[in-house]
Amino acid sequence: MVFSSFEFLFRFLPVFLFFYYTAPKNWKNFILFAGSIVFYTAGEAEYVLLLFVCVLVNYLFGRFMYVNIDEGRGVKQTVLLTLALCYDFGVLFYFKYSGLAGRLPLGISFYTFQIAAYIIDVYRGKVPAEKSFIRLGTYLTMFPQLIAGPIINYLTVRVSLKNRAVTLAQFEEGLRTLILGLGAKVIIADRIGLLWNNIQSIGFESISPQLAWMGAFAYSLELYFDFAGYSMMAMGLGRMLGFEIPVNFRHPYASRSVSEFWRRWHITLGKWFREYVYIPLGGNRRGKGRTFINLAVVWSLTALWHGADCNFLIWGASLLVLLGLEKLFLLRFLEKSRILGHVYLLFVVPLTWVAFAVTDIGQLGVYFTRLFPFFGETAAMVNRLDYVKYMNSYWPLFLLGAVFSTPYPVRIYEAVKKKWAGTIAVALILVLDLYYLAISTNNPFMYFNF
Amino acid sequence: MKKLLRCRVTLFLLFGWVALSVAGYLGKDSRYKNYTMDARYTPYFVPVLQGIHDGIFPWSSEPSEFWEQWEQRWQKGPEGSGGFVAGTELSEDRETSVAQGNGTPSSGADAGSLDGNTGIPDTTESAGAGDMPAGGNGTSGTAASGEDAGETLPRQNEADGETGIPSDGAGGQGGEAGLPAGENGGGTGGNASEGAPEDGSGETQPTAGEAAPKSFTDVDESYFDDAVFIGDSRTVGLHDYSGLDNATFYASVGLSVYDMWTDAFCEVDGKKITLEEALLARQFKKVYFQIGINEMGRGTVDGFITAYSQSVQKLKELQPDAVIYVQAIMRVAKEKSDSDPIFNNKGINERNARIAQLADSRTVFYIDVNEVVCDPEGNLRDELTFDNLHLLGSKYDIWVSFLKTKGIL
Repeated sequence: MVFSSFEFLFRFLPVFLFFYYTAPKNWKNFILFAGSIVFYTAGEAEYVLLLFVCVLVNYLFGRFMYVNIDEGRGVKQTVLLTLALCYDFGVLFYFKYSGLAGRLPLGISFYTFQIAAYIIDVYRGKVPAEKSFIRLGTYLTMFPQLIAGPIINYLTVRVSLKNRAVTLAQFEEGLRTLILGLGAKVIIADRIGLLWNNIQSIGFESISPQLAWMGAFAYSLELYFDFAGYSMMAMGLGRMLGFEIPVNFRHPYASRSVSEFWRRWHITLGKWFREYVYIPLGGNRRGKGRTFINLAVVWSLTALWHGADCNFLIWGASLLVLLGLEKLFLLRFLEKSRILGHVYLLFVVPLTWVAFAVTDIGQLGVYFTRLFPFFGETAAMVNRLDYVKYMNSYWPLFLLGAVFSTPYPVRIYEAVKKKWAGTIAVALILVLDLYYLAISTNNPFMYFNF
Repeated sequence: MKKLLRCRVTLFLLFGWVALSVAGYLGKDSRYKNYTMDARYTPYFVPVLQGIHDGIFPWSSEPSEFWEQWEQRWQKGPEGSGGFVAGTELSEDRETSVAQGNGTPSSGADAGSLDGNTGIPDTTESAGAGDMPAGGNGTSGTAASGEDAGETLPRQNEADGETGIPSDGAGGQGGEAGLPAGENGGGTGGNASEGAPEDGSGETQPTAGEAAPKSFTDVDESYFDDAVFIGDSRTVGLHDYSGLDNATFYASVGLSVYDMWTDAFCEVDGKKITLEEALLARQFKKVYFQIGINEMGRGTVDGFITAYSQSVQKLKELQPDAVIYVQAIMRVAKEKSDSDPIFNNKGINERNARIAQLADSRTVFYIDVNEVVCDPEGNLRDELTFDNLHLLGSKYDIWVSFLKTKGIL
């Protein structure tokens, strides 16, 4: 069940919210836990037990790790931590990389990282082990973030798990965030994504260089609005339930370097790697050489986290090179001009996304020779003016994507959100959300356009 | 209460949800009966929104008739809004045909919207309700509506046979125009193999009912100098990637036999005009027609073939000197065919068999590109397509080579 479906929005959610709001305060966590399990089962009945066992195993390891709160960190704790992490990452490895399992369980990359952070924090003594199984289960399986993040640290929601207010004003605020996030996905991402789909249908060897660049930008916008929209929906849903789910994207395409871009893109994942890999390895405090090695480790793992295919390694490596160059000299150079950084970023990041998108290495090569036709000719039956045709139908979406990639629309909205203008804007987006959702829903009369 | 009033978006949502759901619920057996939905997964307002996209508004008049009107438009023949326009050069051999006073409704506004142009929305399956088991529902719903239409159809077909075709016959075209299915069936069978003498009867004379069947020969690219290709996105692809720059293309993504005469999709001198206007403006020697996949899931096969043969008839009248190729609908790849309850090769083959019957091997020829793009099982070969529906840009030359073997001289 994805958030952008009528089944979720108008069937699951209202029923769940009814039970959630009418339940007495000390029952709310249980309702949320149970509701999340129902939510997960609807999408992935096969592996719901795996999720459940994950909660149980980590709950027990956490509980056994510290009997007394003032017990120091010793061999016992280290052994228990190692065992817990071996279990968590072992399961992830088995499903994602070993090639032995058929299918990846839904959300496993996200919830594994989340529970690993919990158990490490318990080991470090940053948080006491959660005493209530229900509460830990609620934290890990909470449906707003279960499948696609953001990755929430236990520490940030620990207080809310025990005691949170659920008010009407919060509901309204959460609903608005949900509507705006849904809009990012169905009004922009899903529709501009059709261009990328068209390009794949034409075949990379038959597109003009101009269309190849349009494709790279279209994919970049699709990826951003899809993922950021989903994260926003998670924030909105969290707010409706009384949680503060952290921001995952801060207008990354408005950055002026790749380093900045990655501090503003999928923030919670970046933080995770920083906190649990980069800093423990010594961060940047052990000299340039060591810093680079640490970065290499982090980016190899980041690439692997995104997927086990070879192209993800190319993608990670290209980012590593860019970040390395920036650290060495490029950053100082870019800072000299406001414009230069933006141009540089909007040039290189779409290229990295192409490497992210095209899993077949041969095809990736073809795409790059279409982007840079002077590197070699792989073309077959190129329609030289194809880009005119696609520009004619897609320019409104490119414009929309460009405008909403900047921070300005959000600033304007923040200024008017209490006024009628804000209400009307959100209401209008709601109508568009539902309209586009309706006409793209599985319907034999609608999805024909061949 | 005061607090609630401050939650304006919440109130808007609740009010809109209730109001549109009531509209959808009340219209579920009339206005929206052709929209399949399962109330377990989909709210009642969804058909209302889908209707708005199709131009059916909650306040539209006679809403329950809409779908019937749509099909009937084609079954009524000349009187219907899809009937024939009397072009001056065409009307001479016919008693004054019906003047088109009743202005063909321009659904162009709708199709011209951004959404109409965005191409292949196949992603919607994965994007949106991928896990909704509505697929099963869709089928049963469609079957039901199919039955519905099926009841009324035979009657209309009879009417068609009586009124629609004789009115042409009166114009002096003899039995040929009518193309009773039985007669053609025989003619089609031998269509490709029959080594009929190639003399024809001199000029292609629509009135010469006795002309001998013609057979295909190999031709070169110049054959397409005076050819026009009419069709949906597959033909658009042929335009974009065939390299046949000498031919004319009147094609549009999502085009169906139901809207090909009403939408202004033909680009002539930078202006969008209707197919009729375009074909009145210029005479071609060959008309290539491939359409029929977008129609699947809408109406019945009988309704489709009636509209299709009406369109062929109209093409003949608008282009009296042209050879008309009715092309088989290109099949889809195995993965699509096996998983899609509607757009599958069984359905395509069913329609192709009916299209083949329209050929007479004299002015109307049936050609089947599937012969060269499909595997022995009859599915579009995987290596020729990415989306399982369209040829890759670099593979359209297969189609072109095929067309070059099907010249009629």
